[in-house]
Amino acid sequence: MIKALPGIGEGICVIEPRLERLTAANATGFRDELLALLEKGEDRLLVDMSGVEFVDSSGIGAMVGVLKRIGNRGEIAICGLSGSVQKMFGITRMDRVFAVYRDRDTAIAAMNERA
Amino acid sequence: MIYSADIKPDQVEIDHVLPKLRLALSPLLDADRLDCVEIVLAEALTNAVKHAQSSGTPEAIHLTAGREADHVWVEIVDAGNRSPGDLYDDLAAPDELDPMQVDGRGLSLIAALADHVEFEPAEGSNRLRLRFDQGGRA
Repeated sequence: MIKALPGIGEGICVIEPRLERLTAANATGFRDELLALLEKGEDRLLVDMSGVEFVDSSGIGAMVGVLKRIGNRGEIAICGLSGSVQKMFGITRMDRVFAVYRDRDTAIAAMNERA
Repeated sequence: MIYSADIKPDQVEIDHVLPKLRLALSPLLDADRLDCVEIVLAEALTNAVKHAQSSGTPEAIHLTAGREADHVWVEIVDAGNRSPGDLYDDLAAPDELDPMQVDGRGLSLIAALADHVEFEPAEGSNRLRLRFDQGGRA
């Protein structure tokens, strides 16, 4: 469901969801795969949503669940939002809850600066 | 009628149906309104599937969409137990909810993004009718 690219920059793990739609049908599995990465010690996650065309409230909930699990011991950032996914992040204020970047390079540069 | 489908009470089915519904409505609504329709219908159908499953009914959920003078309507009927009549009353706006809650956003999104919500619960036939104005709010 995801492709994980660890060891980017300053300990960043880039996540590429292998999903066009992150919804109630797959949100739990998506969340669990991210939580498994946390258990392996990957606690600086960048989720690149550029391949995701639609997210529902279950998908948002999955992201929030991961954010809550990370707490203060790491971070989860988002990049590549567009169309209805960007709209959903705005309506639900997730664009203020998560660090959101235009694209992967911008996000990695910002996360490296924070390291 | 512009579109109709009978949906098995399975979340996976929703992701198959919604792109088809969006395509069917695309000549009638702009991209922003189509985004709203897709978000609202994803939430409403997810609720309908959950409700059908918790009611133990294998019967299909009926989805229909049509056009009237200045708006598009979409109707969902599930065959579950009678739902509470006040399901859509007094809902907080999505931006008023705790942003750290992991669930409970669906009804607020429906109420906020549809131009009108009409809900008629009945035993074995809960009917939700949603209106989306052409050129309506963003």
